[in-house]
Amino acid sequence: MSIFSISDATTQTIGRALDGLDARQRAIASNIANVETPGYQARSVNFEDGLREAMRRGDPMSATIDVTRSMAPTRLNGNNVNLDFELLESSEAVLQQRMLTQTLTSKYSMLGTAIRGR
Amino acid sequence: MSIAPIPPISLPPTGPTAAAGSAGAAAGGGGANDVFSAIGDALETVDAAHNRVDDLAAQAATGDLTAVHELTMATAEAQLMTSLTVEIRNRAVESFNEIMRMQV
Amino acid sequence: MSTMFAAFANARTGMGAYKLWLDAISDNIANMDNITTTDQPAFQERFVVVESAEGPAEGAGVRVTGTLFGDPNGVVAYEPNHPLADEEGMIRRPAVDLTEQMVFMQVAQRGYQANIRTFERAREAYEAALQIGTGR
Repeated sequence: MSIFSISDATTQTIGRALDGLDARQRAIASNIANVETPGYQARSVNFEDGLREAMRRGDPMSATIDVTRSMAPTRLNGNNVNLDFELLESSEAVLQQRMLTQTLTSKYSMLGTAIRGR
Repeated sequence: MSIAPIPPISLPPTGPTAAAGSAGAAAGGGGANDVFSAIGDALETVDAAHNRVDDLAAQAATGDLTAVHELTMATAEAQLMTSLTVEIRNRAVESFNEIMRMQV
Repeated sequence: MSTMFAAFANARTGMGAYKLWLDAISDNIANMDNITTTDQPAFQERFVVVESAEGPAEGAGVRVTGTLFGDPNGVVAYEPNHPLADEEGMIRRPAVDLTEQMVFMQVAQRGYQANIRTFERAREAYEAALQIGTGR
């Protein structure tokens, strides 16, 4: 890619992290919807490890997003969703997501300033 | 008879221009060509970025878009790429005009 | 359902399921004192049956598969002075336990509220994603 391509390793990494956080939000929403569903195992999304690995390879876009089922002990109905944990996770995901989107916006705005020269 | 005065009128302006153009080419070693071919490449990249935005926007309209940030990031990047290209084009044209105006 | 705001869709399935459960509970409580004659079936307690919805690995929320009904035999009790009592002085009342219903109500309400909170969090996240690149 030439210098005209705005997308760089940083924006790609942030983009992929946003994909991961998006999947995490969906998993949390699904877990909370199933908080009383008999036999339901909580889903958890891990993208951080995959992203670290992909950054080492120099291709953040190839990072994998893993979804696993929680092995936490179940309640009597075979369900292991922990409501408090899920709500905390979702707060954290939102904050992380806002941090990343703000970083992106600042980065774009800096590039804009550099391009316009004022 | 009326044809004769025309060549002297058109000749004086072309004289300095041709001189500046050949001087620039001699000094830059095809520098102007490089700039304009780079802008040509850039336009292709920008065009690809615009096409991606169009695709994602269509997906957003039909509800098939999977992630909101994909569209907003692609839009912001396409916007920046466009202004970068336009800015470089403007500077290139400015420089070219300045060279044209140069007194040799 | 739109895939664009999938977290909304997931939360919405939860809100729907808990709303339905709350409706069933209020119905159970409203009818728990319905006394019938012994030759009539008693009011049957409502149960909502749910399962995890089919979808992507990260889940697609919950799906209501149907309703189950409690025991139509209810509880037969001796109340000779009741106008509906039979010759032996027996009446039939629904097998609905108020304490149990109150517990269910707590659980269902907590679930409903948690889904609303998820919905709000998801909205915050989507709004942030929409702000990318704006405001220079």
